[in-house]
Amino acid sequence: MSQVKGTSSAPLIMGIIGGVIGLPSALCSGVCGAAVGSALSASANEAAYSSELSEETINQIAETASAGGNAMLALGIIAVVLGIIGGVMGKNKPSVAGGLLMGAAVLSLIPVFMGNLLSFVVFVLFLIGGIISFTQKKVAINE
Amino acid sequence: MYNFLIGIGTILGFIFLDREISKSSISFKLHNKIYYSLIIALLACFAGAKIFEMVYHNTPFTFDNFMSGGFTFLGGLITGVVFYISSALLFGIKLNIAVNIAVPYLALAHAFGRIGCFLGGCCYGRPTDSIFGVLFPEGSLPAQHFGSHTHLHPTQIYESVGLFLIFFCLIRFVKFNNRIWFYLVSYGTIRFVVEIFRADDRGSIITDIISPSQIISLVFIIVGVIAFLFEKRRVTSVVD
Repeated sequence: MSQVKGTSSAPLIMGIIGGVIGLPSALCSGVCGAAVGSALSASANEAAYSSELSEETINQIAETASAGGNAMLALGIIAVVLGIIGGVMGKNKPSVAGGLLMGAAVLSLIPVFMGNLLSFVVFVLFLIGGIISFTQKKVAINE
Repeated sequence: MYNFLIGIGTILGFIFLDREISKSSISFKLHNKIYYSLIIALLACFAGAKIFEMVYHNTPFTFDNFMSGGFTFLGGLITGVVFYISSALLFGIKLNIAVNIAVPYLALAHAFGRIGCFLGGCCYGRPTDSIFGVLFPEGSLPAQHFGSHTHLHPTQIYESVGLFLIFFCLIRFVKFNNRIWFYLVSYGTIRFVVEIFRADDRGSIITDIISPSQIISLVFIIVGVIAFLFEKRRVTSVVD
C-alpha cells in the first residue's frame, strides 16, 4: 500500500495559530463557563430574587460556577492540543490531521454558545485547516 | 503577543525543517517518527515552561497559578528536550539525527518568541543612556517598574538578534554533526551576557549572585564543550 504525503502548509499554519489563540480563549471559556454556571445556579434558587442569600446558597452557586468554568477550560485545552497535533501532522498524515482538526473545531465551537467569541475565531481556523488537510493535493511516497 | 510570535516561529521552524528533511536522504517513516517526537516535545515544552516559572518564583503549585502564570523558556527547553530525546529513543531514531536536525529551528522559534517578549513588555532590561535604550508605553510592565520616561536595554531584541544569527550560522556554515554543541555554547554565552542587562525579577535557585538562567547557561556551555570534544574524538577515530 503506497503512502501519500500532503503538499500544503496551510493545516500547519491554521493548527498552530489556532492553538496559540486557543490558549487565551480557553481561559476566557473558563470565565464564561463560571459566569453561566453561577447564573444558572442563582436563577434556580428562589432566594436570589428576594436578595436573601444564605451561606449554603452562596456556596452552592460558587461550586456550580467553578465546575462550569473548569469544564469549559478543559474543553478549550483539549481543542488546542488536538489542533496543534493535527496541524503538525498536516502533511505527513493528511487524513488523520484532518480528523483531528475537525474534532478541535467542534470542541472550539461549544464555548461560543457560552459567550466566548474568541473561540469562534479558533473554530474557523481549525475548520479551514481541517478542510484543507482533507482536500489538499497529495503525492505518493515511493520507498 | 508572546504566544502569537512563538506560534509564527514554530510554523516557520516546521516549514524549514520539512524542506531540509525533503532534501535529505531521511526516509518518510523516519520523517514521521521525528514529527511524533516533536509533537510530544512541543506539548511538554509548554507545561515545562509554566512549571519552571512557578519554581523560580516559589509560587504554590495550583492549577490556577499554572494557567495564569508566565513562561520560562529555559524550563520549557529542558522539559522539551528531555521528552524529545526520550521519545526519539523510543521510536528508534538515532540520537545524532534527532538532535541535530531540530536545533536550528528551535533557535528560529525562540528568536520570534523574544520579539513577542519585546512587544509584550516582559523580560525587560536595566535603565540605560546608550543609543540602544527604548521607552516602553504607560501601563506596560517595565513602565510600572521604572516609569514610562526611562530608557531601558531592549534585552529581548539583543537575544532575538543573537538567536537569528545562531540560526543563520547553523543552516549555512555549521556541519550537521556539529550543530548541537555550537548551539549550546553560543546560546549559553549569549544568554549569560544578556542576563547581566536584565532588570525583571529573575527568581533565585541555589545562589543570588547569578540568576537561575545564568546557572543553566553555564551548564549549556559546559555540556556544549563536552559534546564538541566527543564529536572531535569521534571524527578523529573515524579518520584513523
